[in-house]
Amino acid sequence: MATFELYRRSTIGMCLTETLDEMVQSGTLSPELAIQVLVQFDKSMTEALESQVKTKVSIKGHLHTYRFCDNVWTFILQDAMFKSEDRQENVSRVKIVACDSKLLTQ
Amino acid sequence: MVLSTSNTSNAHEFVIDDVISKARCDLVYSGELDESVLSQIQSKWKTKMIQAGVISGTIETCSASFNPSPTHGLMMATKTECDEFYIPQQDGARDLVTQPNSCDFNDVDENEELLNEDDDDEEDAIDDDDSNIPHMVLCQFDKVKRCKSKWECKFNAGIMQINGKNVLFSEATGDFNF
Repeated sequence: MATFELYRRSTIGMCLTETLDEMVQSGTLSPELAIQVLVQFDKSMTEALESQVKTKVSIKGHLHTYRFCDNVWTFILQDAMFKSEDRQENVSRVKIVACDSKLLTQ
Repeated sequence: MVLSTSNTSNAHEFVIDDVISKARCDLVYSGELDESVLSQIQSKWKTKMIQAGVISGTIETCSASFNPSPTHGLMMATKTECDEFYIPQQDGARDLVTQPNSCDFNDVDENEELLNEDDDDEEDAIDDDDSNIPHMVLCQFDKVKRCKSKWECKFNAGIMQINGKNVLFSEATGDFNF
């Protein structure tokens, strides 16, 4: 099963990475096993987003920078508005990193 | 009003439980990993999540070993699909990432520096800003379409980290003006 390592940059991914890193540094865990756990995280996070989440969001904003490299889109938005049902968040600058969803089904 | 984060907490709990139970099946039962080490991973991970305010719960006593300023050696050591995912937030850490096939935009800039010195300042400024943006969305794209200055995007399976909150979405539409 193909997975993205993208989600390791999220809070939950960083918390796991720090945990594993500390345990590798202290000699409690081998680097090989730590990487296997991270790969499992990639799979579980992707599955959770597909099966556990129903939220739909609309994102509007001024596109400051865009780039496409290795099937990854990166957008930097200014004055962005995130809307979900009746709720809303505004940010002055946000970075969107998006992998090609087709790569998961290949 | 803020975006709902209740589903986020549940999804995070799901991920932790799923990773731990799959690791138990794959690694503990095969004798590669000790159950006590696995439960240490679980409790340290949960503790960090609670401290980050992403899930609720009580911090267990074994969290005394929590290190508030961990290094990211492991993260640097893992193979990446694209360096773009791994530009770390910490200063200097990206110096450790060296991959020949990477598409790190800082590498691109270095090349440009040799060819076209006039462009340096603006490009560097954008990249510096880029890594310092506190708000981030990590997701997948189904469609990215541009018509003149209007961009239409369809995203899915995303984690939004905005205004200090973690919000997950199944689908998102993007309407951007360039």
